[in-house]
Amino acid sequence: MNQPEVEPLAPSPVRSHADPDRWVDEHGDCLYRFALTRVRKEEVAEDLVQETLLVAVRTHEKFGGRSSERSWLVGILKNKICDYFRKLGRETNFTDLEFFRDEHSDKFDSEDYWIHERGPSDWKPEGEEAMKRAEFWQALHACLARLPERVAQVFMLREMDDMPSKEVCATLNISEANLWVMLHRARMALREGLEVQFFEGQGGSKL
Amino acid sequence: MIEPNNWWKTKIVMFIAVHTPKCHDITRLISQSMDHPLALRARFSMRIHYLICAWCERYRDQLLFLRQALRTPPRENANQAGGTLSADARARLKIAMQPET
Repeated sequence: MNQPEVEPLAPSPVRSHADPDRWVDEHGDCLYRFALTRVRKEEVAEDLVQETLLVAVRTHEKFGGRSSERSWLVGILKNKICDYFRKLGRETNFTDLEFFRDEHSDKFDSEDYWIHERGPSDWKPEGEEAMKRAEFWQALHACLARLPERVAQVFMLREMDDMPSKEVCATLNISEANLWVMLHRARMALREGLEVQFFEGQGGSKL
Repeated sequence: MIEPNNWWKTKIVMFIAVHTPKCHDITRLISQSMDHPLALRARFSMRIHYLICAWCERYRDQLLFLRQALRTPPRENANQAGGTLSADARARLKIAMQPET
């Protein structure tokens, strides 16, 4: 591999537009974080960023500045992440099964109504306020990290990236019924996790 | 479910409780409603259920809030969680990007 110490005197016009060094500096961290949140393995995230930039170098001529450079790069990265998920296939491991066994959680009574003291509490601080706090995001990421791998993939494609359900099913090769179960459990787990880790709430009733 | 403090309220609450799905099923419906449109009947029974159940209504609000939070671009909030590229990784990337000549 050639690593010139000195810039070529007259860089080609193409080279001057495709500027991977600058991309690394300006968007590298952002792309890396984006990938790391979703794939949860540092070396995989780094590889995906690299693949993304390589695609960007190849295709930047077609990118006519229709969107910002960053959203263009994130778009490529999203595809790379989906490819990676697809490649991982559909193993369900033991943690996943444990996770689903928890379905009928201790929050409901024998008749499937909320047990008052254990039902969702009134969250303080409220949403907008919570989102301004760094601790909220730390707690959120900690809860995301605890989701089993497959569930996390489903959840993030759907809930973070707003991918339509049908597309998530096609990407990960799962049935829609399966998708709903996974999303339901993931949302429930995340809600409970945040309630415990971040919010101080109190129960309350309506009548 | 709640303990209403008079007879009529009790009657009404019991009636709704009997005729709408249980909380556990409602939570499942709430989740599904976020992924695809539900039948009118299901939507209606959820609405009625919220009249007597603060917990399910709260559950819905909280799930919607979580979705909103997860979809907010990191630049627009205090979300600094996650890593940054190490100097090594940065260098590796730049080397990998060198045009092959």
